[in-house]
Amino acid sequence: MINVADLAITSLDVISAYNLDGTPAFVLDELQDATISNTEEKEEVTGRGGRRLSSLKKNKGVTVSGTNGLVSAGLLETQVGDDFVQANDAAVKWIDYLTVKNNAATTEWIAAGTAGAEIEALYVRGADGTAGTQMTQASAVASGKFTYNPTTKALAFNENELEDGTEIIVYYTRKLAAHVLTNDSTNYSRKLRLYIDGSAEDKCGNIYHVQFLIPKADFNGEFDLELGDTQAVHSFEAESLAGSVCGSGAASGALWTYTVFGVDAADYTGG
Amino acid sequence: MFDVKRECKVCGKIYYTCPASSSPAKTFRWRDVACCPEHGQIYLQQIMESRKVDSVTPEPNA
Repeated sequence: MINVADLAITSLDVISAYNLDGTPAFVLDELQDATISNTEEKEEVTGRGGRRLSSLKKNKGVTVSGTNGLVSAGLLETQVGDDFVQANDAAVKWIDYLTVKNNAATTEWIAAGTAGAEIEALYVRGADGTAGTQMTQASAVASGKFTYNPTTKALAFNENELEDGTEIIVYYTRKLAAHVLTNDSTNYSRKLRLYIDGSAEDKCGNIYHVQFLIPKADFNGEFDLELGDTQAVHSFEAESLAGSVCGSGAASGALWTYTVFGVDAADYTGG
Repeated sequence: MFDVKRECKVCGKIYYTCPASSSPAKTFRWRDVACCPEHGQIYLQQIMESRKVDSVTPEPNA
């Protein structure tokens, strides 16, 4: 029998999430931290002079929160309540900064859109570096007008209108194969089953594996993705719900279970 | 409804249209380029003609 009285949790290894029907949802294996926060309301029962006689306890609650070092696609899907879709013609906005040579330039990618209006905007960069004169796409070159052929990605300008070396800024939409997740205003964050795995060590240096099971974790749809010059981490928060646990193996009233086993624990073969 | 101001590429008339951010591929949307379907058709014809010319490869030493 192992001694689990006092353990030092030495590492947080992985959080694996499953849909309530048991199918895998995602795995967070670059965790920076995780917290299992336990709450309980306690109301004092008082007697003469306000002295405490007992207490009424109710409303236990558990909140799981944490931070993953990488932005997780599965966690995003859970938080926004939608799935990534693989699209062959996802539209993305693109800006090219090009240099004119011989009255021509070439876009980096194919501009998509209505024939003859693929280029959404084209500016000639001014001497001060700002976007200056705007030119418009047309069927033939003329003063202030240019042509574009999406097959060759060629932009053509009126003869000698733009000197060689003139910089232009070209705005267009690309269509490409991509994975797209939509944060739809009518869809909400999901409920999942969570397993939090860690390693532990007792006073004698024996190594154990610990696993928390949160049978039904109701994820919070409020989260931040901070983008900038520091690492973008993915934080999450979920509240454990009691009640039906849909075959998780935990008791129906369980907010979480805590399982400790030796790293070399033998498998049960009793059937 | 959000409309944007555009200039017809055929007659130069100013018109207002709802911008289409994601038209189906290979679809010509006349409102993106012209004030009416007729001018849209004329402009499309001009574009197709100009691109036919673009795609002609000159013979070597021609």
